[in-house]
Amino acid sequence: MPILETQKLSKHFGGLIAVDQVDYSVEKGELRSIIGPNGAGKTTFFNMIAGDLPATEGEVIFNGENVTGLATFERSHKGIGRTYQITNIFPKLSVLENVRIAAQSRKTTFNLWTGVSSHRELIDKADDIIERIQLADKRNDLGGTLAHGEQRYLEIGIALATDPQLLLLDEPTAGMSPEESQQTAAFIQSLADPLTIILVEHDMEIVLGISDKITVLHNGKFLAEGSVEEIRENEEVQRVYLRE
Amino acid sequence: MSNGNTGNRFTPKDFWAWFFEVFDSYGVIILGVFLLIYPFIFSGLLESIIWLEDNDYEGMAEALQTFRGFVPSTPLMIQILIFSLFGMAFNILLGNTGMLSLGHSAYFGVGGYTLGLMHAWFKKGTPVYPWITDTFKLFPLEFSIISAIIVSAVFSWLIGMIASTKRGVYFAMVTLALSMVFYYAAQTFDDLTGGTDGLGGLANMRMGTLNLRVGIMDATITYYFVFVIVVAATAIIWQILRSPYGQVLRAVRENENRARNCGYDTAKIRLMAFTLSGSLAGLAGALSIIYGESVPIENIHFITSGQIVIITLFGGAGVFLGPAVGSFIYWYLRQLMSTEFVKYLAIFQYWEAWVGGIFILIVLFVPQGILGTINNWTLNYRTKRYIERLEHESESASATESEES
Amino acid sequence: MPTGGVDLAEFLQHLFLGLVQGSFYVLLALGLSIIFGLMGIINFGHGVFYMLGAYMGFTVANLIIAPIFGPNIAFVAALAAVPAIMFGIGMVFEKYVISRIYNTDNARFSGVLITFGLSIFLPDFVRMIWGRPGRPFNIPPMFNFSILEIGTFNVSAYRTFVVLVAAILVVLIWFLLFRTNLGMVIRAGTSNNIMVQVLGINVTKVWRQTFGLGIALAGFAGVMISPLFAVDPTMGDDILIQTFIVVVVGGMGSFIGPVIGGLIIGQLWALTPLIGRTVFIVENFSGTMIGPDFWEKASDILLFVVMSLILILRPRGLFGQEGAFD
Repeated sequence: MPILETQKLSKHFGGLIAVDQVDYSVEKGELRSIIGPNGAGKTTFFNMIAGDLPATEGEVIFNGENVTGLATFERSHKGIGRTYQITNIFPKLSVLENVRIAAQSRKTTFNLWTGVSSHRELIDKADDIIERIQLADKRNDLGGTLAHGEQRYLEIGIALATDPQLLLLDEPTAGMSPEESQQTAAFIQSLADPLTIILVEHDMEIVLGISDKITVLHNGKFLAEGSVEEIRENEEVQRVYLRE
Repeated sequence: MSNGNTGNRFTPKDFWAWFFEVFDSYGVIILGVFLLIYPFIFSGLLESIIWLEDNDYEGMAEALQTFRGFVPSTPLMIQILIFSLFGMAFNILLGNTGMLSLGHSAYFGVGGYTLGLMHAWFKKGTPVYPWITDTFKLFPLEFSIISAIIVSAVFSWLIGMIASTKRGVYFAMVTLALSMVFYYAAQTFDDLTGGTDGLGGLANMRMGTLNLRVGIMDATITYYFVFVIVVAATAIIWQILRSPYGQVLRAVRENENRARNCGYDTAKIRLMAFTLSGSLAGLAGALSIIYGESVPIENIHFITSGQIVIITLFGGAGVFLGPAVGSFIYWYLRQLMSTEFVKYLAIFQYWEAWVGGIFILIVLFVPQGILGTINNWTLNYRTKRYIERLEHESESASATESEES
Repeated sequence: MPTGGVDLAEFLQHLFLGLVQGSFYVLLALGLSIIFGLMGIINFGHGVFYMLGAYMGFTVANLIIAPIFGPNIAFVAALAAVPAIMFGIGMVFEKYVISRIYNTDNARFSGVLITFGLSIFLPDFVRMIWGRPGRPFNIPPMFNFSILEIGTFNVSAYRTFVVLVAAILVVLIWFLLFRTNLGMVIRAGTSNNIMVQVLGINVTKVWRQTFGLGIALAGFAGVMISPLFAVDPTMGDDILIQTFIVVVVGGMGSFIGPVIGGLIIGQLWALTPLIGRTVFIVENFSGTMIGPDFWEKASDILLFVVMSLILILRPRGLFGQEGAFD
C-alpha cells in the first residue's frame, strides 16, 4: 500500500490552474524528488499535501486514509512533516526550544500545571535531534541568529521532532554553498528509510545523486516519472527543463 | 578600566554592577516586601506628621506634608495592584501570544458589574432558591468574585470565538468594536446597571470565611485583601507561562504557521489564551470596584482598554512584571499630575493628553518598555562580564578548562 | 404610547435620516479603508481626526470668518479650508510620527498603537485649546428650509446637501482611484505592496498623500456633521466604532465595500428604533413598558449583532477580498 497517494489533485487560483489533476503515489521508505521549472506548481502541490492550502478538487490519501478535509495540524498528527522554501522557524526561541516545541506537540498541548523543564523526555529528544542536525554547540542560541545554512537544518530538525512518517522538503539546499549542499544531500539520504521523503529541489546534482525516483512537473501537470536514468534520457524532459 | 574596582572611589561602574546584581537577584523579593509593608509606610508617614505637629516641629511637619503629596496613597496602591494584575492578564495575549486585543475593558467591566450586580441583587432578595441566597449571605465576596471570573470567562470565550477569525491589526479592530457592545448594553439596560451614572451603593462588602469587611472605610484591609488575590493570580499567570502550554503560546506568537505545521491547533490555543486572559481581567475588574464601592461605566468603555495597553507598553510587553511597573508609573504619574503638578501649571489637568503623548513617544523610542529596557541592560552587562571573565580565564590559566554549557 | 402600525411619513423620515447617517459612515469608512489598503495600518485615530476636523471647521467658520462675512460664507469657507488643513495635518503626522515605524519589527502593531495613542491624546488636547464643553455650530441660514414636507416627513435642505456632497465625493474618490495614476498606485499597493516598490514608484510620497487624503476625508465629514449636532471632544468615539463596524460588514480592500456597508449600517441605525418600538412591545425588568429611548439605544447594540453575524458567516465582509485581511 502506498504511504501517500493523490487522486486528480487540482488547485485553481481564480482562472489560473496551478496544479492540474495530479495522480501521484509514493511507497514507504522511498526518497522521491519533484523537479520542474519555476511556477510549475511544486510548492502548491506540497501545500495541498500538508494542508496549508485546501485543494480545489481531488483527494489526498495518506496511509490509506483520506486526509483531504483535515486541517494542517491534524495532518501533522497523522505523520506528515514539512519544511518550507523560505526558512520558517521560531526566530526568537532558542534552538532547543524550537525543536522541543515541535516534539511537545506529540505529547501535550493544554498542560498548564507543570513546568517545561520538568518534561525531561522532551528535552532529551530535542537534544538527540539537535545532535543529529549538528547544532549541539548552538543549542541555546536564538533561532534567528543562526547562519542561513544552520537555519535550514534547524527547520529539518523541527520537522523531524514531530516524528513524521512522510517528510516534505521544499528546496532544503536553497541558498547554500556547493559544499554545504553536498553535506545536506548526504544528510537527507541518511534520513530516508524508514522515513519517506519527497524532495523539491533545483540543484540537479543533488536530485540526480540521491533520488530513488524523479517526477517532473510542468505547468501543473506531470510530464514524466521514473528512475534517474529514465529521466535523464527522457527527451521531453530535456526539451522543457534540463536543457534550459 | 578593568581594575577600576580596586580603588576606593565608588565609580559609576561599581554602581551599575551593584544595581544589576541587586536587580537581577533580589528585585522581585524587594518588590514583594515593599508591597507587603506598604500600608504601614504610608500610615506611618501620616502618624509622624501628626507627631511632629504635636511636638511643635511645624517646619518639618510641613515639609513632610509636602513630601507626602508625592507618595502614593494606599488607595492608589490598591489601584496599582489591580491594574498590575489586569496588565499581566492582558500580557498573556500581547506579550506572549502576540495578540493585540483592544477590547479588554469588556471583561474588566463585566467582572466589576457581575460583582456589583450580585451585591445589589442579594440585598433586594432574589427569586432563586433560598439556599443560594443563604450561601451567598455566608460568603458574599468569595461567591461574587468566583462568579465574576466565570461570567467574564464565558463572555471572553464568546467574543474570542467571534473575533478569532481575524489576526493581527484586524483582530485589534474587531475586539475593540465588539467590546463596545458591553458599553452600549450597560447604557441600554440602565435600570439594571445604573446607565451612565454607573452602579453605586455597594457598601458593606464582606468576606465570609475570614469575616472581613472591605471597602472605602477599610483601606488597609482592602489593600491586603487585594494584595493576596493579586499575588495568587500572579503566581497562576507565572505558572501558565512557564508550562508547556505557555511555551506553545510563544511559538504561536513567533510563527503561527509553523506552530500549526508542528501539529498544534492554533485556533484553539489562541481562543484558550483569550479566555484565560479575559477571565483574569474579569477578576481584576471585580477587585477594582471593591474599594470604590461602585462600578463606574468608564470601566467598560474602551478608554479602559486604552489604559491597559498603555500600562503594558510603559512597563514592557515582553517582560513578565512589565505591566506591574507600567501600572505604577501610569497611576503615580496620573495622580501627581492631577494633584501636585496642576498646582503649578494648569495644563497638567489634561492628563489624557500627556499620557497619550508619552505613550506615542514610548512606542516610537522605547518599544521594549521601561522594564524591558532595564532587562536588556542587565543582560548586556552580564554578557559583557561573562566575556570578560572568559578572556580573563583564558589569559591567566591554561590548566583550567572552560565550562561546557 | 407608540403602538400601532408605522405611518408611511415616519418610515420615510427614518429612511432619510439613515441615508444621511450612512453618508458620514461612507466618507469615514472610505478614508479608513484607503489608508489600510495601502499602508496596512488601521487608523485608530480616525475618529479623533474627524473630531479635530469639526473643531477646525468651527474655528474657521465661527471664530474667523463669520464675524466679518456672515455665517453662510463662513460655512462654505470651512468646507473648503478644512480638508486642506487636515490633509496637511495628516501628511505632517505621517512624516514625523508614523513613518518612523515602517522598518521596525511589528510595524503594523506599532501603527495601531500610535494611532490609538493619538485617539487618547487628541480629545484632551482639544479641550486644552477650545475648552472642555462642546461648542454649538448652527446650520448656516442658507440651508434653513425644507425641500419637502409631507406630514411628519421633512426633508431638510442641509441634510439633502450632506447626502449630495457625500455622493459627489464618492464619485470623485472613485475617479481618483480608478482613473488617475495615484489611484493606480494605491490600488496596486492594496494588492501587492512589494510590487509597487519594485516598480520604483516613490512609495513614501504616495503613502504620505494617501494618509493625508484619508485624514482630509475624516475632517471633511467632521465639518459636515457639526451643524447637525454640536462640536464636542468626544464626538469621535462612537463614530470610530461604527466605522469599524461598517468596514467589517462591507469588507475592506474593495471600493464598493465601505460604500454599501456604510449605507446598510446607516439604515440599520435609523430603522431599528422605529421597527423596535412598533413591533416589540415588551416589559422591562422593573415592569414598566420599554419606551422609544430603549430602542434608540438598542439600535447601537443591533449593529454589533450584525457585525458578529458577518464575522461568523462571512469573515471577509460582504465585498471584501478573500483572505486579504485575516
